[in-house]
Amino acid sequence: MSITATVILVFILYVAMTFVIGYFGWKKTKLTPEDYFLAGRTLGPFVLSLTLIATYASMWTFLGAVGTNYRFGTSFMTCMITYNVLWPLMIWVFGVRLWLLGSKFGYITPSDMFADYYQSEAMRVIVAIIGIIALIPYMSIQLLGGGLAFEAATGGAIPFWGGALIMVVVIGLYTFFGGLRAVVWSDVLQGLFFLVVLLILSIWAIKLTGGNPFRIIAERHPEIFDPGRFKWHIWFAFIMTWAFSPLLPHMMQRTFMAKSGKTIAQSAVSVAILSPWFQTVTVMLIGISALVLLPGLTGKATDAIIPSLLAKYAPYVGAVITSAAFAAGMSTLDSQLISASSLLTRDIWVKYIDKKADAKRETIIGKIFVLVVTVLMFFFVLTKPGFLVILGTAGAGICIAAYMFPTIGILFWPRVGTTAALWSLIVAGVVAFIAFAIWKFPLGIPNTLWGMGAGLITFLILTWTTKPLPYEQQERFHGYLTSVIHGEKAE
Amino acid sequence: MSNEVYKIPNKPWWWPRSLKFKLVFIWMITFFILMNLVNLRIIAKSVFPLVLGLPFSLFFVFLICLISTIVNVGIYFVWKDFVKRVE
Repeated sequence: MSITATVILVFILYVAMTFVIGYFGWKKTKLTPEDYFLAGRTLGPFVLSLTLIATYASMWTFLGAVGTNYRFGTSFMTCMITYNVLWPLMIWVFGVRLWLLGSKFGYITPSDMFADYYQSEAMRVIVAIIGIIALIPYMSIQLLGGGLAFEAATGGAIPFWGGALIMVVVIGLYTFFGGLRAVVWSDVLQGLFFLVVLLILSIWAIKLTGGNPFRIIAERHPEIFDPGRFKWHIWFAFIMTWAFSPLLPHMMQRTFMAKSGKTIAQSAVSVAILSPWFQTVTVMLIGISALVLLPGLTGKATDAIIPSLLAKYAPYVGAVITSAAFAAGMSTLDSQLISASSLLTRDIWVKYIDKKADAKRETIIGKIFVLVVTVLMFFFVLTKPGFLVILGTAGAGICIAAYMFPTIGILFWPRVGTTAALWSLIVAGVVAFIAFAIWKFPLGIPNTLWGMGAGLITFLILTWTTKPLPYEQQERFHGYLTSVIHGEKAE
Repeated sequence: MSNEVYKIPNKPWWWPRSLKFKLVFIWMITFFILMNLVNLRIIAKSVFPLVLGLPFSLFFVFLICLISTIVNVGIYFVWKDFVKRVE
């Protein structure tokens, strides 16, 4: 059997499993927005932990991060492990509070929460628009990686666009029919598969080097272990982006899905172990081993290290691994897809265009948006935009910079009023967008830092110079959070 | 939605209340500063000696990340009363 046929066969088996999951998701899902977009808020710790890690660890981890470890050495690893230690901490800091508010007030999208707290419909629309704009480059890297992985594993027999098309069709179908249940159950399968493959691959790559790759590289290229190789301002921007990833719309919605606060707490513990040690260290080991096994790679070729490594040393195993790359991409893309659909449906379509839509109609519109976004994504990715790492971080950075300060107002600082929150949202989002799409990384500084800086200044000035929210409104949220978190009784 | 009224405490929102959480907060800030100092080549910048087969700078990074992971997991036990309340 040829390698191309093996890749296709393994992939068909893998896709068949996701379709079975999609089928059960479809049978179990009621036609209500809460059920379709949030699986009826019923996720337990096992499913929530794996959907969090599978959604967070994207195609970017599998391809882009390995390539960046190869190019920048352990300096990038120190960056990656720092934010992978910090984002589980942010589940404790933000996630628990988001769950408390989501379950008490019945929020489905982040915009529901922003609009309700700040009593502002403008806030709802802008939060939704920023979420969608930010998700586009982030989603596109999953498809881009899928296309690259297929092309490399089949030696070009399946072209880039063919791999991306297969991925689009599979995800579009199971997300359309199965909703969030299909997404999270397939995340469990994809997350486990992805983590196990990374673990096996890292051990195998070390064995191939014939010894301790650190010792070999330390002697041949000690500069690989220079901790300052990855420039500080970029290093810092990566950390500020990914450490706050629980603020991304699809991650925020995951906190709304938990069955209880205890579920969130247990999931924070799981990801605190899995993310730094199973996701980061394995990726670094593969990147370092590849320096011994595939020396001299540069530029975009480094984004395809895993497929290239397998094509050279174990072409048939490459078929399984290509599916793991797809798993990583699919588990992130499906979550982003359903999140983007929920933002378009609930916060724009039903609020302003089809105001009379009932729950069933709203869910059907959500399904249609899943297909629309999927098709748009495919055409966008045919332009093969940018490096995987830069593209993903820049897209996520827009959203995190914009959402951060209004979220601090909702969860922590009662003094923040609507004007401060709204303008910090707009300024941070617009500045981060311009610093990525129009004037790329001014002075070499990534867009996340520009957005956060501009947002912070706006936020602080307006918080101290404009009116806070009415005390009753502050009390409704902050009083409630304090009472549950610190065990203080209500009056 | 309930009609219960909750009071907002007159305490700084950014500073943890209990000693255990103050220690968690201080360690995480220290961790973040240490990682920045590593990237800025101020501390743990040498490759040699290899410690447990790892370059020294990498060994140092792993060590403080391990402590931070233990702290992250430990929050569950420090915050046990809260976890019980939201069970």
